[in-house]
Amino acid sequence: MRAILHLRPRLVCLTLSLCAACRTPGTQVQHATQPPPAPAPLLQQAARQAPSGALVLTTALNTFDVHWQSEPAAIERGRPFVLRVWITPHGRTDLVPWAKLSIDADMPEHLHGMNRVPRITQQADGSFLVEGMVFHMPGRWDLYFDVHEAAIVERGQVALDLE
Amino acid sequence: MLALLLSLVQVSGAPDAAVAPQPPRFAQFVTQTDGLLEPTAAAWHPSGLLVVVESFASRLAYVSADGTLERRVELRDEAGELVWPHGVECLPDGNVLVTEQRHAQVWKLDAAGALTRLGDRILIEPQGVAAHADRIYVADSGHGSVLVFSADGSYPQRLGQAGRGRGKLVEPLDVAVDARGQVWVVDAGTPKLVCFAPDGTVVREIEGFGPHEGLFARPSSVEIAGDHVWVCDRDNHRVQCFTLEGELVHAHGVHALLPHEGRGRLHYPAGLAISTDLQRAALVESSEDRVQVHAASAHEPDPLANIERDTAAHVEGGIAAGEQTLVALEPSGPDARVYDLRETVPIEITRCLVRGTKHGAAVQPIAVALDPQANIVYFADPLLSRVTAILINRDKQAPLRQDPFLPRLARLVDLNALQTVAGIPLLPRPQALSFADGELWVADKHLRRVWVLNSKLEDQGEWVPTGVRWVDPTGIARSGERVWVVDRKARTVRIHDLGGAVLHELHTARNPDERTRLLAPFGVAVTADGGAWISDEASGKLVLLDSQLQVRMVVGSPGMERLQFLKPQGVCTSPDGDLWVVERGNHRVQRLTSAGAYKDVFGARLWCLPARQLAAPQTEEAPR
Repeated sequence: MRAILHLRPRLVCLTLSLCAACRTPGTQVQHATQPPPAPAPLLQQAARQAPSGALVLTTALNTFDVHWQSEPAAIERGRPFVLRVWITPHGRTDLVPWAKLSIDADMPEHLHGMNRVPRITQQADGSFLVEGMVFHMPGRWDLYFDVHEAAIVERGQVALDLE
Repeated sequence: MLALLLSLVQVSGAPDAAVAPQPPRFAQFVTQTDGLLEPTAAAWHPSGLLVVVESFASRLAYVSADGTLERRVELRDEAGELVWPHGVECLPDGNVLVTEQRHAQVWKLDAAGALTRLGDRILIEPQGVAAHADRIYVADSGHGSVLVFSADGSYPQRLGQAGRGRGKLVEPLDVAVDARGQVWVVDAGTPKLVCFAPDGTVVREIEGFGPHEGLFARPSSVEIAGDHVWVCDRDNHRVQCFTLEGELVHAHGVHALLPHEGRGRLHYPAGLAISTDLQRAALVESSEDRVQVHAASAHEPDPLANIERDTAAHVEGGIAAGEQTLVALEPSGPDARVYDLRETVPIEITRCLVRGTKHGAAVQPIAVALDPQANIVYFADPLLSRVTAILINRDKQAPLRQDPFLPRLARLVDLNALQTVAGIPLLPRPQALSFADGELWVADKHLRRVWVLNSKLEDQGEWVPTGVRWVDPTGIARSGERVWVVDRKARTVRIHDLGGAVLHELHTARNPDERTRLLAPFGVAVTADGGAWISDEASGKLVLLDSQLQVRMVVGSPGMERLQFLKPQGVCTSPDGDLWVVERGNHRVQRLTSAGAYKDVFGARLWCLPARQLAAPQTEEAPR
């Protein structure tokens, strides 16, 4: 089973904030059923804690929670977007101070990924700003958040359907 | 304007430039020699004979132009032990250079049998060798470099360094030197062809993975002949010819479609030797125990050469089984196939791993272990110095079906980052895995130790065998307080205690009984009663040893029928006691009962057909 953020056919783009109120651990399927709270503007998140309005996923071995938001909240095909990411120990909201992050995305049904290499910079508040993301095709995208702890990398991922 | 006119006059008035002759395309089959024992390389001797290295048998075979085996020369070290020859080069004076991996040396043999050793305590894993002027060039995959020796054996120069990037080499397998003194190296781990200037600077690199012309899958041998560079690409089953400026001239090679087809069709050619008169090319096919000789041909290659490369069921290396799950590897893909064992035959439910260096990808995964409780599969990739944990996110009650989305990368550990902290300069080469009691043991060929990791791949320390020096640990398994280690190139099976001390040791090649002599032991699978099955690539046998390393049973012989094995590598036992055997040479997996009886086979269809016919089992009890 995999976590899929699935859109209704009438929607023309992915609204990531649909599941902002839902916790989306990797072994549950979540369907968007209710309107989300409005996401906070990215640059106003100054506390060294994960914001309450972000989407959350848990890494594969339940070590970390990855809180993330996109800007714009609705990802459109072929349009660059920005991610803001916070990494906390699983079940907590305080940030992991030493965590490093890398991001990638694949279209597993097409056996390829993005044709851009995103830039990741750690912000003063401990969050990560990911710039240069583009999903250039419609279909299923697997978005990977790889949390680095010295020599070890643990992955959290979420599946997104983009129309 | 005047300058332009002058240049036009010069061009139009210049005498016709000499048209460079096109390099030959070695597409015409001449002869083949079968029955060699894991040939790895060949070179043309000034006498006209072809010298072929048989690594499993530790010998050189001298083959005539018509394919007749003229004689064999066995290679033993000062203690009388068989060694592990790999690369070969013939010098104009008739002397022969051989790389030897057991002691990591280069041997120089003269016609009278006298021997000179080079590179002792310098080389780590010598592969291909070349000679030019008064220098000897050795591709060393341990160093990730080409080491250059003077004729007196001194070591004056090193080309390249270990790693990825321009001028860096992951797995240099062969080297050749052109008339300009430029040094050409094939790096199978990247993969790429690199040209170094004599001073060691990089002149050019031709890089890229893929089946199309100009790309490489696993370049394993390089030759200079005339004004051209030929690269033998093992996993693309072909030879490509480049100019010294790096331009691709042509590619040729027809992939074999039938089992052990030969006669012009290629199957994993690992070595290439082109005669100095450019009339003949010898192609060494290790997994087929064969050398083919092709001649230059003006004909276009068989159109079948253009078929897409199909890696299906090219199983090699390790295998792991749990109560309901089996994982088999295809390192040449790379690919890993996951099977469900709830039915009477294994059902493939998903695949994992793709080619690359990104997280979750692999270059050459050759070992696998399974944590059946957590549904996690661990892969060791020696060319990335990495161990990767993939979560098979399956519902064991769900109906069986193929689902490409079952596997998800859970974790990985970069052993190079761990060992950098420790300040050890060698690239780790994890190549055997064992999972038991919540611990993953990772045997490292270069560092000659075991990385002990927990189920989350966190470093728990190391385990080091005491009193012995590993050469090539291809199998490791734990059984209670005991650790079994198979050292292929040392031709040794050892049982250690948890402190690392050797409790029992079996030199498998010394056994006077030919039925139980193992020249290339590879895998180990422990049994419930404290014994273990050992596979032997050379003899196509499986041997059941007890906890004192006494032989209890011998199963198999070379071939394609039931209970016959070609190059058996990984072995494992499932909780029901069944034994699973990966056959590199037959592209299939055989399943045996705990008593050594045939039960099932699966893999490439044509290779499985002979075993599915009824045949008498060939199990024999060893004398007690």
